[in-house]
Amino acid sequence: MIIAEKKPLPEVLGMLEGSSEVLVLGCRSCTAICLVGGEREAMETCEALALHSEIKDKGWKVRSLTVERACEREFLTPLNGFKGTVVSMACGVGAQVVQEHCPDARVVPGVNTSNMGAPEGTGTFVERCAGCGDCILHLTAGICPIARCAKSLLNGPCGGSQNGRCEVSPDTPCAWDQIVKALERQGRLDLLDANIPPRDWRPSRNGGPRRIVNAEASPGDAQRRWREGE
Amino acid sequence: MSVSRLQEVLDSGRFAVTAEIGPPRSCETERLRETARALKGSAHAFNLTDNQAANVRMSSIASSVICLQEGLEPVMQMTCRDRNRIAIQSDVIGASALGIRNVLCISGDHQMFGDHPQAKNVYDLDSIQELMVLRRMRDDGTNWSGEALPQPPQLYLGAAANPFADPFEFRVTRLAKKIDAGAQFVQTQCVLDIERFKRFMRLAVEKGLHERVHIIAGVIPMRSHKAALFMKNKVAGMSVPDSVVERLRRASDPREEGIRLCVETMQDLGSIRGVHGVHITAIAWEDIIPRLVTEAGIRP
Amino acid sequence: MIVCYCCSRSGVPAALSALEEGGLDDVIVREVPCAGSVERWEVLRSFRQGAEGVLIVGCLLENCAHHYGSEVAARRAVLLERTVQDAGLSKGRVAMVHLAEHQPLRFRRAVEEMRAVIGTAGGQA
Ligand code: SF4
Ligand code: SF4
Repeated sequence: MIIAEKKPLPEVLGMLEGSSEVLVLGCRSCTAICLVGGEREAMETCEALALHSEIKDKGWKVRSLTVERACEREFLTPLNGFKGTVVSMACGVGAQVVQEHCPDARVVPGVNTSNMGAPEGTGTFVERCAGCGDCILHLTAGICPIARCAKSLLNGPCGGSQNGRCEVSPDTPCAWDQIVKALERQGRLDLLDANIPPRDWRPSRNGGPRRIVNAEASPGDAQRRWREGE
Repeated sequence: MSVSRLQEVLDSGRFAVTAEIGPPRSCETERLRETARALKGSAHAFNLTDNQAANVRMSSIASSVICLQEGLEPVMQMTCRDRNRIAIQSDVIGASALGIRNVLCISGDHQMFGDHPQAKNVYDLDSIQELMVLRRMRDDGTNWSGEALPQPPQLYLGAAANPFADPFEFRVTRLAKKIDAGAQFVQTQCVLDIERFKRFMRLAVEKGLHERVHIIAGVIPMRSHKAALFMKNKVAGMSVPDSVVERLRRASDPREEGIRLCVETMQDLGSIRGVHGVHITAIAWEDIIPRLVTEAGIRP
Repeated sequence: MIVCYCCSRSGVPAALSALEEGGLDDVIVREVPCAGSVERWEVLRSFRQGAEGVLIVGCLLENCAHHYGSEVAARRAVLLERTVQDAGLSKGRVAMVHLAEHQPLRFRRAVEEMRAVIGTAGGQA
């Protein structure tokens, strides 16, 4: 899922200058699960903004609303025609879809969207995938070196890997140490004998924003043109 | 055929000596020239580091050229941290055009260690892929995308190896991978833990790697036990045995002891099967290099 | 006004005994099943309803009726104290109190400490 982190309240307060109607929008999907942008957190932010407004006489009319998934417009109908300020507790994707849905609103981020990750124990979340667009997990024992190695190396651990830790921090496991050990356990170390040549990064962010078309579900260009009456 | 003196020395089976020169922080060209002049003749070739430890310095290309002008043979280090494949190829073509032949391909220390931890890193390639790209330019006469190069760069390609990093056994495999990718010489992390280094070399020799690549073992002179402790605790990928720290701590003149230790290590390394040279890193103590090579009896 | 969210196992009996002794007219007790169940938004809303300070009163850490509820509440109190400051109130307006049901004195002391905190800055400043 998408992992986000709470933005410091003073930063959010700074974005609201000149607002009158403020809607704190929670999302029940990813950011709810990583404990920063669900219903409870939206209500909390809503109360904090209201408290600030009362203390500092800002006159904001603050309320909160939580939708199933902010990144799909079908869940955003309660926001139809909203023209105030939306503090999005959804990820950056949700925030943008909300902005598309409410073109006259001012959408500001209430969270910092960080990565695609998974929980590690309770309350800790760790990055797992960098969305590189050309998955190689079959070569690396199901451990992603692109997202989890600090240098995104593709051919083994750098010289800074020691005692299973990454050179950037003793708190970070070295992904390549994990890969080598996992392949060893599986008896597939020979996978690492062949060098992986320079990758094509186009499917990653470097080909510009990516657009994925589902051949069955998408009507395709011709049909779209027909539908749009061109 | 050799394209550089370093290659000629190594290929002819002689014991090679290389040493590191840290480029200045700014345009202190004269200082760099002085260091170069003082070190001339103490080694076969000199590594010019590439923004080492991710601190901004004069570029390794420019410093290599200045050393060339002073009559030193440079080994230009080139990290994957700051350049994508376009910049790497362009810089190497430029370097070769300016007379630089030895290029050391490394991934580079993470920018977190340096003076710009806020920077974005590149890592379009890793060090192995960098070797692949440069070898293709030289051997196939094309750049990585297949575009023909009417006058390809002349290069002697090097890589780094760290026998003291983990996982230990994989370090030998990784060396083999670098050789497959095009490494002709390899410079290792500084050897202070000679037992571990010997184990590494035994494994490498068992696999016959010493016949496919010239292994140059790193050494470092230390001025005090504090320097040793710093390396033990603060430098990623180092192994410093307690006996070394103790030896320096107990010495009445730690500086002299450090020099003796370094000289002994170089002599020991020379007798290890598969070691074809030493690489001296004397950070901010470069003027000791001539004495070290003379006392070890390995002056070129 | 000091709003006290009191755990029904420990906080409520302790608070009630303390209230019987008198002198705590500025205290409002809100019973909760567990200190860990107090929502952050609820605490913030108390301030909007006129609270000058909030105490979250739960079990002793090693003796929590809900194992770790009291522990979660303590971490939450630290974060809430920060949020309340960020929203514009002075320091120390949210505090965690750990006690057992037979410790009304602890409750009284916590109220007195909160009064002192409020007293220096005054009201909802
Ligand atoms: S290889 Fe690419 S797609 Fe696969 S997990 Fe890593 S970043 Fe994600
Ligand atoms: S120590 Fe491991 S995870 Fe860290 S940069 Fe090096 S190879 Fe990558």
